[in-house]
Amino acid sequence: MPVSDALVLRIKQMLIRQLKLKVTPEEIEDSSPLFGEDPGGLGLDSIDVLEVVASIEKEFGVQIRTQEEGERVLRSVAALAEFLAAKGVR
Amino acid sequence: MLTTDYHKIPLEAFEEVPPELKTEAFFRAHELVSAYVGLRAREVVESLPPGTAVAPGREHPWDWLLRRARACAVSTAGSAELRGAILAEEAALEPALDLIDAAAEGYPAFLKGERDGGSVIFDPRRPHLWERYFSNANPLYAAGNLLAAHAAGIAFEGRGDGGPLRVLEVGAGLGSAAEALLETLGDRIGEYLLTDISPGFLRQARDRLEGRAAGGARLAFRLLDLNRAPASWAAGPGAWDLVHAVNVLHAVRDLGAALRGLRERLAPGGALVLGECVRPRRGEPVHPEMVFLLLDELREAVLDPETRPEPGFLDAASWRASLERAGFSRVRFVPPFERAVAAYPAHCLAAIIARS
Repeated sequence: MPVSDALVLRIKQMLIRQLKLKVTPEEIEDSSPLFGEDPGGLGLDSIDVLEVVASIEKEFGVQIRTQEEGERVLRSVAALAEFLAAKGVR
Repeated sequence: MLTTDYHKIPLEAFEEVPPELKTEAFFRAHELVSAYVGLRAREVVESLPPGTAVAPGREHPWDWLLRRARACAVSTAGSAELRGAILAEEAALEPALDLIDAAAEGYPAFLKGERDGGSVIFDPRRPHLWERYFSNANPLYAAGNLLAAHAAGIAFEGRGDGGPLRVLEVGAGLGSAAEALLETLGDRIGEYLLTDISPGFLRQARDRLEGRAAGGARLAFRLLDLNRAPASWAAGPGAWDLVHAVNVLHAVRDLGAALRGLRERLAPGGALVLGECVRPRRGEPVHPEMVFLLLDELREAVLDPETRPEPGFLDAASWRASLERAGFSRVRFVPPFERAVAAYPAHCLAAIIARS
């Protein structure tokens, strides 16, 4: 399933809302790292992982089942969008 | 289950403490949770087959569990029954019990090296565990916040018209200690910089506190890692009347370096106020350790036989030695700690005021 712009926007809006980020969706680069101290990234940490995983399940009905899966799909908005699209989310 | 008859506790030993922290309910909550920790520790120990090899680096938590398990005097059938009894008496203790349960469930895999401690207690299947625990709705956690705020009030009694207080808080977390401090001193605080190592915690604290600050306090939020050199800290030296540190300093890697850095941040006449769980006697386990010994940061502390004899929480003598070695003076415990322990042997909560 291809990744739609609407899905990418939904993901960014979810992150902003649930993590109380003071940015707009346009300011979040699709491929920038979500976690860690990369200056171009969002700077999220392990505390945020808890909220992100719970929010993904609530918003999109998809569970992230293992730590390995989480590390892979939560690398960036683009990685998360690909994962969700493969699960049939639009 | 209270091992001490409340009515025989000489409460004059706690005369400096807010009234909420010397009620029978308060003492009982502490003992109930301590008993639950002992029982869960025993269940973890009994769940492991004899001869189970503990992974390298995990010997200290294993030793801790063994000591607590041996000391457990609870004879109830199991933790589920005890949990039900505790919650029937005090439902507000549920966040504390939930965190203990998460730790207990993860300990076997952690001890065998199959899982890291952080993943046990920062578990996406339980996303709100920390939010509920580090809250003023959790009476056990709120007690530390309340006592530290009260001690900050004592520290600045009689300051007169010295102008608004400039407050630096380290390890602010989700903002519950700030809530208590603003409630106590809000109308005397001018600038209030909340700092923490975690961007996630800081964002949530900002979301809760912005727009709700009492009096004229101006809040700001910045990252600050006490494990990095003080020169990198986002808080200028010599600029703060009060440095407030509740339930954080026991977790820093090099306590001496952190304390020296905090002393440098105080303005002349300033005070460091700590809120801490303090061991009643050197080497004595305290119940919060069951959870926090899972964290690498706590186990990797720089040790010193006088100031930091073991990882995690300190005893009163170690706190005095640490603070004095870092250049602080007039170290004062609220309540006077040895007197409180003489009155109630399981006492383990203190605020500490130290002057630059």
